[in-house]
Amino acid sequence: MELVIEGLSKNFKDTKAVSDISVTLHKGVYGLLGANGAGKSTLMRMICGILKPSSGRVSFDGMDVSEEGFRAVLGYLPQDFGYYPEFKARDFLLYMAALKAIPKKEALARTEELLELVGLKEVSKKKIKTFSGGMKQRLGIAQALLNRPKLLVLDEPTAGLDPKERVRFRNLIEKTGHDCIVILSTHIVSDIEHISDEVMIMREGRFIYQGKWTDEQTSLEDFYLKQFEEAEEDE
Amino acid sequence: MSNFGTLFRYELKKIVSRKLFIIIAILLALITCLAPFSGVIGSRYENGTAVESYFSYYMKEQSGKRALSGRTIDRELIEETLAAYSKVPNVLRYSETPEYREYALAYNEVYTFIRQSLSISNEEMKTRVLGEEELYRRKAEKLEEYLNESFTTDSEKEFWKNQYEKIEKPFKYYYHDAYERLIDGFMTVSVLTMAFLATVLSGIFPGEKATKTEELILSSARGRKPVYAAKMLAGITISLGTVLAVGILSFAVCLGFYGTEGFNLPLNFDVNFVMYPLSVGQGSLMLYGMLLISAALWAVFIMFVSEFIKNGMATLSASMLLLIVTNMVSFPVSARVLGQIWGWLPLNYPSVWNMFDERTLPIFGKCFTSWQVLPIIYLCLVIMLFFFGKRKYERLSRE
Amino acid sequence: MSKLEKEIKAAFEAPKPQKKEEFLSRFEEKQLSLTKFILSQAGYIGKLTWFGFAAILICAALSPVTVNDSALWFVSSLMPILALLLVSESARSERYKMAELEAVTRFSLRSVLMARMVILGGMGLIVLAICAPAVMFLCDYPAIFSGLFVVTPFFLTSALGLLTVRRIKGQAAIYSVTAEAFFVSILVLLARNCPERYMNPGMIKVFMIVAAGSLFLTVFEGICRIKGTEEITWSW
Repeated sequence: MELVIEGLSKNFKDTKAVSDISVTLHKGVYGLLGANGAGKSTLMRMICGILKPSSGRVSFDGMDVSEEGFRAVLGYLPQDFGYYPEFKARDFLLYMAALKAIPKKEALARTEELLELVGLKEVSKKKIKTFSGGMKQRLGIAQALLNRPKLLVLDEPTAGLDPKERVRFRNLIEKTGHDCIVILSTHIVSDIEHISDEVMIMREGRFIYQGKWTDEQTSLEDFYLKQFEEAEEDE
Repeated sequence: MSNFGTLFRYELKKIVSRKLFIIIAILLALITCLAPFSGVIGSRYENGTAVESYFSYYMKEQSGKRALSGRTIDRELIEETLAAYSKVPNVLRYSETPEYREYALAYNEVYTFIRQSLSISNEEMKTRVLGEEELYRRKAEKLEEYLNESFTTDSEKEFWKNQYEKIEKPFKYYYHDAYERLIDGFMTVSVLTMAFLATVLSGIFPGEKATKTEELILSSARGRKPVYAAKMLAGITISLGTVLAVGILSFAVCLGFYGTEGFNLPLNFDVNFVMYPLSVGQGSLMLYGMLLISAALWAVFIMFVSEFIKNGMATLSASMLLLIVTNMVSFPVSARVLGQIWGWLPLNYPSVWNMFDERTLPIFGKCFTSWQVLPIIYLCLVIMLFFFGKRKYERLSRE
Repeated sequence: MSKLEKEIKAAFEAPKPQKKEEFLSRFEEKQLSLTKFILSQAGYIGKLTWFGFAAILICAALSPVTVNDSALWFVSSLMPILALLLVSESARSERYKMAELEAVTRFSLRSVLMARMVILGGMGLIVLAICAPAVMFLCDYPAIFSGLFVVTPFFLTSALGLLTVRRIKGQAAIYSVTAEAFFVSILVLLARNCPERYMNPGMIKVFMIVAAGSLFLTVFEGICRIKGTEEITWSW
């Protein structure tokens, strides 16, 4: 299981949102840290194949990002996603399951399983427009897990979750990371502190740090701030 | 395949579960049901006072017409009609006189047929002595004049003359109010159907961006080709379903209230420039049949445009403005080619005067009527737009 | 900032300010009056709205020349579009999710909304005041029919539109209002195919009732909208 990103760049007019990113990822949880505007979401959209890179290539086990096979193993939770107000939670997951080419029988079973997992079983027959922000976020996480993805890309997944939900989410991601590649972007350090195997820190479209952090003595937050200071000094 | 079925069902659900869809569908159904009764609702006024309801007036007229139904428009009936009208005073609003209601009301359709066939005024009709042969001869001459004024080619004139000869003469009059209402009210139904489709389909593609579900869909395995096909098919299904629904409603209401008689009356009796040997019943069915195909093309066009504009409201506004402009603008008869293309657009075509007009499409020396060629042309356009749109959608990315 | 820059900053630190409040209080705080505020809001009305007003006036002015006999129907069919411009512009705050921000300012959302409705309503009435008499004068139909036929679609669309924006939030509301306006416009255009059905004393009563009812509902919904700004819900 290998995600290969080679020389990935994205330019928007005069701005270089992502600049020449190359990395190879294997099974595990990868935390992608960076301030707002660092390029995290742009990178993630290119990994998911919904944004065309200006240059570079993304492939998973040899499959290019543009192939249907790539998207078949992908689970994605965007930073700001919507829903169909008239859909019920169950409808939404069944619809997403159809989009992910999951056979109907399996989709029904998987939907029930995930609704239980994210704590939405009691409200599964209610319309999404009645949900709170946290409930919508949990539904988003559920849809990302529908097809048992080998590559799970989560863009600020804990936004809107209360502390208890965030702990629950972290446990879920840690478990998932044993079997697939999880890329989790956030600018809140505590989200990934305990669960990431590797940390990638982005600044102005580039990786300013990439590697394991468990070997370091300091906390990830101090470690994160230190990287920014070092980057400023280098300038 | 089962996934595609699920996707298709959910795309349909996305369209029909919206409150706007339900409200406008109810409005369309109401207008479709009420429009055939516009002539029987309300009252007739004299000097500001209601003197009689249109309904009682109509019931009297209907019984008179039914009494005449089945009679040949021959010398006897012509004389009877002219004699009845000779008793009506020669005033501007002669139809409001008691003499008209007493003597002439039942004959008004036959009278109108005779007057239109001869193309003369009411005053001239009063003094006319007319035989059966003269009536049909003059009618044929008037139609020939009409063809000349319409800038038709010689082969078209020959074609229409041959078609007109196939209509059995003398005409037999039938009471046919149901079909008359269907034909008269068809334009209202077709314009409102097109407006309905513009409203409910403009947001099919841009709506995903508005609801912020675009990324979820595009990052899914079936998020490209199958979703595009499911959306298009859902839109086409809605368009066909709408036309079928309004068609069934219209026929049910008209035939239910006005009766089923008169299917075989020549269409030329009601629409005097139609020279094809069609009956009013066949004409009514053809109108709705062509509306089906026009609606499908209009639906695909709206969805195609919405992919490019990427804004549901802009697509809706543009579609509605196009609908209004096509309704308001017409070309003079002399602008033959432009007028024909304009008249054959899917927004203009579903109407009596465009569908049954004298303009044909000559192919290898043979004249083909609009209803013979347009279904094929529209189908080709649907396929073309479908594939152009598919290419656009597959290249979609959030750039 | 580099290490050297930090050290220089620490060595040459600026002295703390003295008598700062006293100095600042010498300046008179200029505040915007209500009238000036209302006028200033005119500058924030979208260009498309002004362009729409102008286009409607021009089309109405040219209609006796371009569409001749159908001038009444054409001008009447423009009135729902006029109402659409007014309603959609008045719902700008909700449309662009600025309502909460505007609600906590000095001239709150309520004032912004009132100012917009005064300006837009005034413009709408000016256009109506030009179009209705012009149509009554130029058309062959009785003046009262013509006048009613012009104002009724306008007030009907305004009433429906304001009803819609109060009940539906965001872009969906504007979409619905657009659809309503065009539907009314198309129904007016279809009416021109059988004018005798509408131009009779029986129908004049119907038009009067619809026009009066729509006017009442427009004013009522407008007041409710302004009152409703006091209670902004968190969940849209």
